[in-house]
Amino acid sequence: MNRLSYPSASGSERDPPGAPGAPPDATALAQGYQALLRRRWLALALLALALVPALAADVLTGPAGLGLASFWQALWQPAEVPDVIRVIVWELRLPHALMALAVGLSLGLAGAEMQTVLDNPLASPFTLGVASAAALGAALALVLGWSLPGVPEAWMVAVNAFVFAMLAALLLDALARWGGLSTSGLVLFGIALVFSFNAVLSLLQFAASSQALQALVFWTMGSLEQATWPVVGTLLLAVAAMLSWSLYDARLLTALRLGEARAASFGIPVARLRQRALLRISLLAALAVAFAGTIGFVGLMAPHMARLLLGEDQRHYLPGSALLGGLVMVLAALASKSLIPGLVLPIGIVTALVGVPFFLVLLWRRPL
Amino acid sequence: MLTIRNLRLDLGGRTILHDLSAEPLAGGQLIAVLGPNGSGKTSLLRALAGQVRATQGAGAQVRHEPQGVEVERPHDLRGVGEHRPHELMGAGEQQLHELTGAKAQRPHEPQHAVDLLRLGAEARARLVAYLPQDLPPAVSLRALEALLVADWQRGRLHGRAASLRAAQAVLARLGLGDLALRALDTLSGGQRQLVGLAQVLVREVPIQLLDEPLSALDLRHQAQVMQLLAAETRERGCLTLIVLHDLNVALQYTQGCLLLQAGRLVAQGAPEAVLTPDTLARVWGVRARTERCSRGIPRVLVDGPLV
Repeated sequence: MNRLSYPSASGSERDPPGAPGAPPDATALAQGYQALLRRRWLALALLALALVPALAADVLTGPAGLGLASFWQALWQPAEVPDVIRVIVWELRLPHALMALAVGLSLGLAGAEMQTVLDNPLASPFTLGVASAAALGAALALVLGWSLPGVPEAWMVAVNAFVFAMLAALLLDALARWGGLSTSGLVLFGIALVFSFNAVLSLLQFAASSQALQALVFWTMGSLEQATWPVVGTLLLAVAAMLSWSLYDARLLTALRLGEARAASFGIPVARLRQRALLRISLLAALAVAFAGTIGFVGLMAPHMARLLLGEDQRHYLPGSALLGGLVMVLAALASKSLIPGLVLPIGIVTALVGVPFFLVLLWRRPL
Repeated sequence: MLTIRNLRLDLGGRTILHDLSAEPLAGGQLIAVLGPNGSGKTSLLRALAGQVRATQGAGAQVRHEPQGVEVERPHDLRGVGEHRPHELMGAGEQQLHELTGAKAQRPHEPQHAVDLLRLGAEARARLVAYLPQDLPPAVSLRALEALLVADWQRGRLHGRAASLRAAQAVLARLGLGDLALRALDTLSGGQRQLVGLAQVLVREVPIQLLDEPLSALDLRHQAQVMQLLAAETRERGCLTLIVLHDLNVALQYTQGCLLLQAGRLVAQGAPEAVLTPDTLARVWGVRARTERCSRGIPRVLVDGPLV
């Protein structure tokens, strides 16, 4: 039987150490592949593990000093610590830290899935108009006091942001479903949406009172101020549900990385797969933006970090991007409190500063 | 056996394929799809692969009939020699597998005639594999992973071990064994084209549609791929349609050809019979002749464009 050969191609020095360059038979190949999978699962486990000290550092940092001992006691014996400590730990620090984690996980996962289904490295909830729509919704509440009837005032901004983000996402979904738009058409339309929403937003800013304008600017910078247990619970639940669902689709999404024509030729219902993914993305992005404002960096860069670290098998890439998003957000929350002592910066400003060094480190190495 | 009848394709208000019908194409043959640029070669393959909806012609049909029990690939029958012939004689396929310890790996195919145009995506993919003209993208996926997702239906039916065995066998046949765990974004264009071809071969389906699989390959690899495709097609009894621009490759390796011009089938038959000076002038607009080389293989010699 013919055998083709590439004599020059074997034994690349770019292969990660431990990966066999030339598996001689099926068993060796299976072993090499198993080792590769083990390395990736290990990397994911380490990422998850790294969240623990990051969260701990985040909880222990803040304007009011909090020792490890009193934090530990407040955590396990809340009845026996002073009220101030209990409130700081249970009402402020823990919800804020977990909110940072939940928002990071949501944006990391949404961005990763978006870059996969739209086959575009620049895709993120922010490049497709979902976040701009949310900002417009928030502005309507902040500037004009408009919201759905029956919504309590404290929730108006979040509800408006969510409704507008979902509407934008549904519009994109409808176009993908019935308009027969290609992925590049979809991306272009998303960019058009960004500009349209931003134009209306500018109009509102122009007309806004100085007080409303300040609130709006603060909201668009992103913050974790709305962190409460129900909000954190909702976000974490949504992430868990959407991550499980996307992992169920992971093998099909991996095929999509090879191009739509190829995936379709493998017998994969590409259009339906893309619709399911868009639904997951819009739900996650809408929730995250509604509660934390516009935090742009994570949804765009966490997927690239995950790709550089783990490759593009979606079984590892999707959870990896979510975990990296969570890690960057938790560290950003920590940095937002510690960069200028006594002052908490809006987290949206800090995420990019924290995330870029991560990204640079990963750029210089090959994926696992 | 594949029968194409009244296949019509309209795209953007233009008719790309004009009620195309062809004589039945039997399994075990390597068939070249020939024609000048824009003649509808890619569109024909895409329509057969269900990539575009092409069912407008009255009574349009692409009928596939299985041809009995197909010939097994040699690597599935390792160990046959360890049995006495009388043990194997008259054994059915399943018994043969049990006797030889080989596992039936091919995803289930329908055992009756079907119209490809009316099949769902998953069912069609069990019959038809399509290799698009463009190379697999340079993404951060290992060659092996690209094969495993292409062959996902086998993975679902027979588990990962079976998928890995099949992928390894195909990669080795294509000389890609060393590259199995390399990411596509570290491979050359030619190597990626071979991975794309491996994605088709690993699925072991009865109909293979290959759109210019040689475009990024050097001469040696072109020759090796054609030999391999001819052997694969013959041994497995599958039907392979291959879009080629190099008529001499068609003359040397294929048993038949479909000649397209402006969305119409203008000739069908053995390449040597179809590629006459008259046809070459009419379809491609060149002054050309076919001559046998010193080894008796017919060659097209182009003297220049028609003026």
